[in-house]
Amino acid sequence: MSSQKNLKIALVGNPNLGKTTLFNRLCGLNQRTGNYPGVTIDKKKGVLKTSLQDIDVIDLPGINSLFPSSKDEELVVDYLLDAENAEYPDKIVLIVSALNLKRNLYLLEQIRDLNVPMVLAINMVDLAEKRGVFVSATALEKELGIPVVCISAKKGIGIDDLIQKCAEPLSIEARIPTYIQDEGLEVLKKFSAEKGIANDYVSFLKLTSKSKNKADVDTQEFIAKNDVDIRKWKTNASILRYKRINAYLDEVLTIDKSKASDLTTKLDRVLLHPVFGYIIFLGVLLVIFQAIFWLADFPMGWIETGFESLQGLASENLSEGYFSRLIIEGLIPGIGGVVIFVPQITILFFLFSLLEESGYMSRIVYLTDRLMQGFGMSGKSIVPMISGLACAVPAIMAARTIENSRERLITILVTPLLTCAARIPVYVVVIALIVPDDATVFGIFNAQGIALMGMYLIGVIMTFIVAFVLKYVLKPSYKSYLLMEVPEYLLPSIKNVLYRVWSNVKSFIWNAGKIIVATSIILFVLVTNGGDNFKNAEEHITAQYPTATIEEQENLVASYQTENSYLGMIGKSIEPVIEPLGYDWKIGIALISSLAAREVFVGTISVIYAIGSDEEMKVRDRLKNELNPDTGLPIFGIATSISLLLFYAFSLQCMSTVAVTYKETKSIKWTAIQFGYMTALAYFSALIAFQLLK
Amino acid sequence: MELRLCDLKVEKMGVVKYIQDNPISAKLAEFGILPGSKFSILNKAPFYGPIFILVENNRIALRRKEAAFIIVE
Repeated sequence: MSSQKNLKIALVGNPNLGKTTLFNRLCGLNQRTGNYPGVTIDKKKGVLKTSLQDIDVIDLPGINSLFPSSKDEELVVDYLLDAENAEYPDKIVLIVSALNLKRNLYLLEQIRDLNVPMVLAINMVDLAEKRGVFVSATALEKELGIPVVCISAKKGIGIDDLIQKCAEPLSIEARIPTYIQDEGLEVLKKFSAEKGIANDYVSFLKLTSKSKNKADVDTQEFIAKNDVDIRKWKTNASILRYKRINAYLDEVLTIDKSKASDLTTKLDRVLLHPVFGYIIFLGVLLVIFQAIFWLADFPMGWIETGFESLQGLASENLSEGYFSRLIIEGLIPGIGGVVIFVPQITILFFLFSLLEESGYMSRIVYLTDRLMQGFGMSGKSIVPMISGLACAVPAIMAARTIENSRERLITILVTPLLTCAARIPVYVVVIALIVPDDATVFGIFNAQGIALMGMYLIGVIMTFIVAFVLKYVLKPSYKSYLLMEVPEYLLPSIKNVLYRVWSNVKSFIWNAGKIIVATSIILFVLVTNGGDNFKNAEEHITAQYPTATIEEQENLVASYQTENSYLGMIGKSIEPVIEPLGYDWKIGIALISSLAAREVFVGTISVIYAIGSDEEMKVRDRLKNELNPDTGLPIFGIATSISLLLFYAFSLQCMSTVAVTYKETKSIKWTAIQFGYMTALAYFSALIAFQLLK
Repeated sequence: MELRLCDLKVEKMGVVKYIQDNPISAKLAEFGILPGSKFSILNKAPFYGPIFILVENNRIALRRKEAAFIIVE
C-alpha cells in the first residue's frame, strides 16, 4: 500500500443505530464535516490513526435500503454504486443493531451483493444482553462468510477488534443471487451484458431505479421489450431476502423473553397519547423557546459588554489612522455581531441533538404528520422547521429526508420564513426602540419579550399560510406516503450531543463570520471614501456655517461626509423605492448591506451612525437620538419600526439560504420564486404597515 | 369483507394476509410487512393521523392510506 493514499472505509447502516457514535469513537476530533451538517446529512470524513497506518473513515447518512426513497438515501446509494469514483471506499463497515437484527440484516444482504469487502459490526450488544437478546457472531460469520464483530460504540467495547479487522486485507467473492428467481435472472444477465455492468446486483438496482430510468431511453426500451415489472421485481427481491434471513436467524439469535423490558412501549403510551402526547410536545417546544430567550440572555450580555470594552481598549491603545479606524469602527462591531448569536445557536443545537438522540424526534414526526398534511407537508417537515428556528441553512438540508418531492419543495420554500437566530439581533434592537425597557404586561411579563414572541408567532403563521397556498398551487407529483421506522428510546450520549453541537456551532461562526467580516470591511471603505463633495466637505461646511463652533463644524463635516460617501450615494439612489416604507437613505444602506446576511443590519447601522460621533454609545441610544431633518421627529418612530420589523420578518436577506436552496432544488426557478415571494411579502407588508400607522 | 390494517383498534394483534398491489407495495415489503408477518397496533394518531405498529419486533409508523392496502386477519 502506498503511503500517500490511505485506506478508505465507509460506515453504512440503517438510521438511528449508533453509527455516529461509532464514527466519533473511531476518529475523535479528527473529523471534517461539510458546510452545514444537519445530523449526518453530508458525508462526514475523519481519520482513524492506528499504530500502523492512517485510515480515512467516511460516515454516510443512514439508509434503510438500496432502493432509495428520499433524496438523502439516493445520494448514499449513488455513492455506493459509483465504483469508479476516487472517493469509493476500499471497505465497508456495515453497522447493525443487535436489538433490531432482522431488519438490519436486510440492508446487509443488499450491500453484500455489491461485492465490496466488508466487515459487519453488531452494535449495542451490551444493551441487547440486558434485554435477553444474544447474537452469535460466529454463527453469523459462518452463514455470511464475512468478518463479524460484536461492539458497543457507546461503551467502547470491541472497537479495537473492529479496527484490527478493518486493517486486515480482505477480499470478497460474488455469490449466487438470492434476490431474484431464475426467469428474472436471465433477463437481468441480458441487461448486464447490454450495459456492460459486471455486477448483476448493480445492474438490478440500475434497472429498477425509476428516477434513473426516466432519462435513459435504452433502459426504458429494455424494460418494455422484456416486460419487466419493476415493482414486482423489487417486492419479490424483498420477500426473497427476508425468507433467506428467516432461514438462518434462529441459529444466530437467542431471545430470553423473561428478561425483555418494554420501556419504549410504556413510554409511548404516554408520549403518543392523543391528549397528553400533544401537551407534552407543546411543553417541549416551550422549553426550547424559554431556553433560547431566557438562558441565552446571560452569555449574550457578557459578550456584548466584552466587545464594547474591547472596542474601548482598542481605541485607547491603537495609534490613530485609517487602519485602526477600520478595526475599531468596522471589524470589532462586525465580529461582535456574529459572536452574539453563539449562545442561542448552541442551546438550540444542544436541545435538538437531545431530541434526535433520544428517539423523541421520530415521535414528533408521528404526532404532527396529520397536521402538516393539511398544509401540504409531511410530519418529517417538522424537523427542518424546528431547526429553522436556529438557521434556515441546515434546516433546508434536513428536508432531504422527506420522500415526497412536493412536500419537500414546500418545506424548503417556507422554512426561511421562520424566525432564525440571525433575525433576533435586528428584532431586539428595533423592539427596544418602541417598547420601553421596564414595561410589563399584566405586571409580570417583560413587554419586550412578549413583542419578540409576537415576531416569532408572525413568522410561524406566515409559514403555514404560505405552505397552505403552495399546497393548492403545486400539483401533487406522485402519491405521498409516510413509512418510517421508529427507534426505541435511548439515553442520549452526551459525548455525541456535544460533538454535534461543536461541529454545528463551528461551521456557523465560520460561515457567517466570513460574510460579516467582508461586509464590514467593504462598508467601512465605502463610507470613508467618496467623490468631490466628500473630499471638499470641510470647505463646504466652513463656507455654509461660518458662525458655528469648531465642535459643531466637525459634526457637520462628518455627517456631510457620510451623506456624500459612496455608500451614501448608493443609499440615496434607492431612497425613492424605500421612502413609502418609512425608511431614509441610512436605513437603505443597511438594507442593501444586509442583503447578504440580515444580521449585518445591526453592524451596518452601528458603523453608519458611529462614523462621525466620538462618544461610545449603544446602537439603540444612537438610533433613538436620530431625528428627521425635515420634521424634527425621531426617524425610528412606531410606524417605521414596525415596518422594519415586518420587512425583516419576511424578506430573504441571506445569501447562504439562497445558495442552499439552489443546491437542494437544483432549480433556478424555485430559488427565484422563493426569493421573489419573500421580497414581495416583505415590501408590501412593510408598505401597508407604514402607510396605516404613520 | 376483508379486514384492513387501518380498521383495527389499538392493541389488536394479527397476521398480514396479503398486500394489495399499490405504488408503495415494494416499500412495505422492505420494511418487513410481508404475508405472514405478525403485528400489533401500538397507537393511532387522532384525526385520522398515522398508525403506529409493531411488526416482527420493529416499530413502524405509516399513514392510514397505506395501511388500507394491508389485508390482515
